[in-house]
Amino acid sequence: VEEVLRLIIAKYNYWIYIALMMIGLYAMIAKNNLVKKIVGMNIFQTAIILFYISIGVKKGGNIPIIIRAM
Amino acid sequence: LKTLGLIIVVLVGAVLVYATLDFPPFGDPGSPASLHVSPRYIEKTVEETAVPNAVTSVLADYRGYDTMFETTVIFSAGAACFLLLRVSRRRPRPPRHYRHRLTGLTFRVKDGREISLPLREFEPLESIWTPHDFIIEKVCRYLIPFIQLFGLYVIAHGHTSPGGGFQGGVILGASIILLSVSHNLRTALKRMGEKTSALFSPVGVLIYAGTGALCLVLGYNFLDYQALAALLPGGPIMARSHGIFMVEVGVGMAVMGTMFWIFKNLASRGRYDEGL
Repeated sequence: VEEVLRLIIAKYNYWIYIALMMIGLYAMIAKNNLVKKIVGMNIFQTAIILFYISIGVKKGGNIPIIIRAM
Repeated sequence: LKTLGLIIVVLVGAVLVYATLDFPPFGDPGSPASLHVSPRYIEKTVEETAVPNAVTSVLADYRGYDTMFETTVIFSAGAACFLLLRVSRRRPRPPRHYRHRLTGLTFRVKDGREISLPLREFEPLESIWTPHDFIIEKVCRYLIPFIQLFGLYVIAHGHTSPGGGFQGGVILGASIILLSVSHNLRTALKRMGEKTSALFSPVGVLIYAGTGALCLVLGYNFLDYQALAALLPGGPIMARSHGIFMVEVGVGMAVMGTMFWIFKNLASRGRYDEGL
């Protein structure tokens, strides 16, 4: 059980992105209304952004602006 | 098609869920994406480019080619909108009617031409035109200069804070779009005409490519800003910082011009008269 929980905590962000991506893809394929297709594409786009952020995030990380510079 | 689509979507989803089993855990600092190239950028960016914001130095210096063609893509998007939607001037246009606000007299202007008197005193009489709210008009009029100032700040401070050419350009473009939403498109076109916005985007791309070509002329590689040390004070490292700034200005101009260019073509269906 503990291992399953750890798996969920480690991966739930990716699963959310996949769910969003499936919603967007389905909207793009199945809807006939062009506006709904574009809404689907936007959801897809959001999913991709969430994916990039999910693989890039670091615990305790900060924005990459070095203050000691000047 | 709906069931077929659903099957495809579920299949794709299942494959992706299977693939996530090999992904690094969420928030893992030792994930492969942050082990190889990003520590080098974070450690060397101040040393090599004198830019504290690693995102800016990666965007405009280490990956300068990529950003140059991104700017070109933005320009081509604007040009495509223009070429597809712009209606040519030669076609005869219906007359316009204006009501003078103070006297209530109605004027008829032939051939869809602009009224030569100050537009503020007149009210267009057209089916798609709705009178604008007084408060919105006045608030936007005083807000827009500050929005533009903030846009310039964001472009100029891309080195030390989040921001840069793309973000500042979007803010500048949005300020002009706000003008045309809160007043009307013709007022905004008086401030930033067709030629101006169509010039801004290629000139921005040209500044970017020109900076690169200048480095080439001075005997270095394309977009190797060290070459600018011959022209600017501060040595080769500060020259890279200045080069990044020049490029950011180009990007900002291109984005600003293209934003408004696309907006006015889409909003007025290429006619540049009414719409939003």
